[in-house]
Amino acid sequence: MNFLNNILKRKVILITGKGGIGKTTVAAGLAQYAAAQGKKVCLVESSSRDQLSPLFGVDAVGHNLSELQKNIFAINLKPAENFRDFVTIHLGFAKLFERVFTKAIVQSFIKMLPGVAELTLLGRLFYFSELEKDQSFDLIIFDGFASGHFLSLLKTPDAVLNSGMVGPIIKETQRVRDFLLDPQRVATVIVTMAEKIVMKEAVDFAVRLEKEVGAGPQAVIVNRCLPSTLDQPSSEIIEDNSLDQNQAWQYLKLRQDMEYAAVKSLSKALSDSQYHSETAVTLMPDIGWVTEPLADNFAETWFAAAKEAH
Amino acid sequence: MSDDAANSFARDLIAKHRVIVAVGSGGVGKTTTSAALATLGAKMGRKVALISIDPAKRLADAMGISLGSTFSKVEFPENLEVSGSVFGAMLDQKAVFDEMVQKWAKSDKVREKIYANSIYQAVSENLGGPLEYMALAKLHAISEDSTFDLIIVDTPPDTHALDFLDRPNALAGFMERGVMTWLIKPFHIAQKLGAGRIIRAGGKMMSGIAAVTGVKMLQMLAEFLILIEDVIKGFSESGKEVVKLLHQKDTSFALVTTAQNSSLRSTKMLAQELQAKNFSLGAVFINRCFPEELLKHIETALNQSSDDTRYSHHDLEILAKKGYSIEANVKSLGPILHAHGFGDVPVGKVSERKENIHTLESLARFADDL
Repeated sequence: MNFLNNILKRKVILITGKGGIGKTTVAAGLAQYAAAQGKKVCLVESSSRDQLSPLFGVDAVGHNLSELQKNIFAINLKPAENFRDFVTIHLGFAKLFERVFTKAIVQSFIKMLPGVAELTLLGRLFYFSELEKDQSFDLIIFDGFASGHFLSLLKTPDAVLNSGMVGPIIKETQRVRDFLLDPQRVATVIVTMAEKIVMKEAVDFAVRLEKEVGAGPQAVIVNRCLPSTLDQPSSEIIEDNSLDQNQAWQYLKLRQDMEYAAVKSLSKALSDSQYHSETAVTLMPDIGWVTEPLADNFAETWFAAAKEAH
Repeated sequence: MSDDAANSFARDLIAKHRVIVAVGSGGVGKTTTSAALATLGAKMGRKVALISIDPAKRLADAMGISLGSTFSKVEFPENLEVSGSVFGAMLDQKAVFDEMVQKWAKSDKVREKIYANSIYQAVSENLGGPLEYMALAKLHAISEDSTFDLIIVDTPPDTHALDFLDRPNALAGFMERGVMTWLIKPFHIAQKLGAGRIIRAGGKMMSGIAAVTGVKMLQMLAEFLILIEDVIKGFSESGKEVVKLLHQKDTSFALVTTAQNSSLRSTKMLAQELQAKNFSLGAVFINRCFPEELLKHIETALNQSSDDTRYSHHDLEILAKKGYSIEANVKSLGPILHAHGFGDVPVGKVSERKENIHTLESLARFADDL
């Protein structure tokens, strides 16, 4: 798989896409695949309820870096703890934090400051990749926010840098930003599915990421394609009325037609947009249901069935 | 369920409440469900306000609602027989922010200063999070308009569950703990006077914070916070009113989910939080359920052989696996709700639609199926 080899060369992979599209499954699959190659991987999410660890048979890890399986670590970053870790571990102000930032009045102040949660989250991703000495991870995979939220997350450093402020946090923000926007080290992956409107949104999102943040996606994953669509990704839609005896076959035909048309329009839209002609498009098969915990060969099987779209 | 199932539970939910707040994790169809509830309300003759947050804007296009904080009327085609009306607002962060400043700033001069402030510009246009305040602020504003019979609120995609409901408390904490009085203002004055040392009580803490942020950053922040102090106060006050409103008898939450494991985990957590915060839950919608008849057809087809190589049994097996898993997970929802005191709450299964909801007609059909 070209796209896999290419993406897994990076130090950080940011996964995004519409809600409910399978981002978490893709993140977990990539982690399992990379770990099988001997890479030490850290899976990161920031959500109310752990969604990654259950895929590896652990109910929740919360804000504690935990090894779920050999070479697969996970953490669910929480905003308040992120701020603490950013100030104490990352910036090295442990004593000061105890003395000042644990005070209720200061916490009330910090809570009010816009962008702090976003900046410290990005700072922690940078830290896990570049500064974490105990673990020295080969790869960080961030099971990122859905499209709109992800965009504002990545826009935060520039918003802060452009506001004219200076100081240690700002200096660090500049470093974090330069790292995150380096395509050699960090790749954004958009997950979408083979429905025309969903795909149009994905293309619009890709263009916005490139225009507004300068971090266009290096790969687009079209999730939940029917296996038969993958078998003949370039075949034309055939008018066929002989299948109307069973609605299940009709349903399949409708879905296939829809998927062909959608994939076609995606490739065209990407090559039309001046930004993403180089973006790899990969079709991933629908697996029907994600069984928890994932089987040991889950990623291997899943990615082996994937197809590059052209 | 069809149109004439007049006692369908979605109709019941609407009949009994003035405010319905849709909550659920990201990607479960919350925005679509909110819009469908609003449409159903209008079909029942209500004058409905729909406060929506749709990052995709697709639904806004379909409903002909312009982005921004003002309400625009949805023009339903006559054949849909909508006797009431829907006024929708798609919250646009900057517009609502500006509106709040407009409403609460002390004077024209302060207002202009705020608009020109570089931190304000960054916050109001770019940063995530504030949208969460916005839905609540807008809800408060519209609830005071008694001509609306029904208000449907779509909430931000959940990354931190019901945290957005705590935002007013964060604001209130900021005001009540005296952050301005004890930290910001003394610091600001000391800086203005050119005092090299930061004075009195707040001093130690402010110099501590400055070690992390830098003095210049704190100066800018202090200046900004002093400028918008009245706006924060206003926000905080209206936030408190909203929390009251959310606890009123005629307000209800509607939980939107899918049968996926991850959605159910979020749903469990949301149920827990709703219970802990003493909110009433009026209905649960499980979207993207597998059409029951389709599963039967798939079972039949699996027993047939086909010569057509384009349609594989593998496809059918995958669909069947999905169908069975969804059924099993739907059954597991009952005990989850029961465990959090919501055992009596009606649960509605909504079938997966291959058609995307991007026209008013498809939205109306979706509404009829609720």
